[in-house]
Amino acid sequence: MVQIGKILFYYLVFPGFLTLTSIALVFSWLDRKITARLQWRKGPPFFQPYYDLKKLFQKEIIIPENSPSPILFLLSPLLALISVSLAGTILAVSVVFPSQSLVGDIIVFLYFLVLPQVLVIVGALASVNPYASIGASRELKLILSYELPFLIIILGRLLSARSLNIATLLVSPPAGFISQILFILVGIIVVAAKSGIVPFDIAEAETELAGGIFIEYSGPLLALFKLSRMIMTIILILFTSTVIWPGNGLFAVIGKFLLISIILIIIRNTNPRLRIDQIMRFFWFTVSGLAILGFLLALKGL
Amino acid sequence: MAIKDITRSLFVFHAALSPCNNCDIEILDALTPRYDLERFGIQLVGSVRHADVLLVTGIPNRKSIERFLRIYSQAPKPCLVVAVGTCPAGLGIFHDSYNVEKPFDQYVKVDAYIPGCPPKPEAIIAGIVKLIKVLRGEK
Repeated sequence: MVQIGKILFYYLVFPGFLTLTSIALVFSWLDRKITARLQWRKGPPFFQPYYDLKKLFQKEIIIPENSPSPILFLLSPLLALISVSLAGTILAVSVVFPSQSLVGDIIVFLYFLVLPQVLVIVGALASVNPYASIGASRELKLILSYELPFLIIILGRLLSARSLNIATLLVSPPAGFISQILFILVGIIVVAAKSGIVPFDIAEAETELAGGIFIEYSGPLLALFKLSRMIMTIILILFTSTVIWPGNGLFAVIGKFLLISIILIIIRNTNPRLRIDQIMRFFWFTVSGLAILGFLLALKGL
Repeated sequence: MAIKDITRSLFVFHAALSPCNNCDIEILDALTPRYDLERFGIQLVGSVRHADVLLVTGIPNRKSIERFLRIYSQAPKPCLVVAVGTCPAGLGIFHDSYNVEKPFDQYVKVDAYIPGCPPKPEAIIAGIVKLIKVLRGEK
């Protein structure tokens, strides 16, 4: 009983769902505030992301009339949030309590990280909207683009650590200086693509697809999707600043987290949206090339 | 539903009822960094499913009102309607036009009127702020 209670506490309160949600809301505010300051605006108040979610949770849920599967339409936001907070709990438990982590948890973590994107596609296809299906197809192409370099850099880290355990990866030293820099660079680009921020937001594309994958979602369901996107972003930043860029100490982790966040926000504000073919070429040739180069250098110990 | 929660984060959908586009340009001006509506939590959204406010511009004629009522029925409730410009607020120069049946506010309940041909961005912001104050029950 005590064991189950402890697991539930980890999952729901600390360092799981509640903690991740609060960090995600603060990060979302930081993102919007820095964006506003870069455009010489004042920006939203501190609690704005919370107000948005609170309002969305009180609005009406509309299910599209000829949806082939209303159940999938309703379940996919919920499952996306559950899987993303599971992934976050696995990572955060390894960071906060290294002795509590499981064997081979990085594989479970990677699977749970892909699941939200797949569920977004399922939900978009269940909402029978032409814009949503264009968005779903773009999201699928985005997954095909970024997963390869992401897995290569994780493989590089696994090889130098000789372990499948996140807690071991956190403390294992990097293979070499040059490969480390390449891994961090690739990691930041992949985080930008995976969390769908501006140069890579082809699936959402407010200006041309009017919300794309989320176009038919309203009220609480939209809030769940938005929340899972926000949590996803902070988990990926945490992953990059701990596993891919190892280094000890609470302040070091917080510093790296803030640094990567600010780099991402600046990328978001200074780049236009790319086309599908540009994104796929960029990831398959440039980013994967850098990842493979880093991997080979890591094998050599550079 | 606490209406106060809506006033803190208004997602605006731009519903154009065959306007002459001057009001639309002023609305876009109001959303630029210079006026910074995000400090009130106001955002422009692309899908009516995400909308809390329908900003209506243009004249409700026989063709366009049908489309507007369809859009209105697709918006998740509670949803506010703001009439921007003289056309939806009164009827303006179209008061005796052959294809206009009746004023806009006889089709749906309008929560705020912002007259002007076109209203300035300052007038639009003042109107939205008045609407927020009324919904919160402030003076």
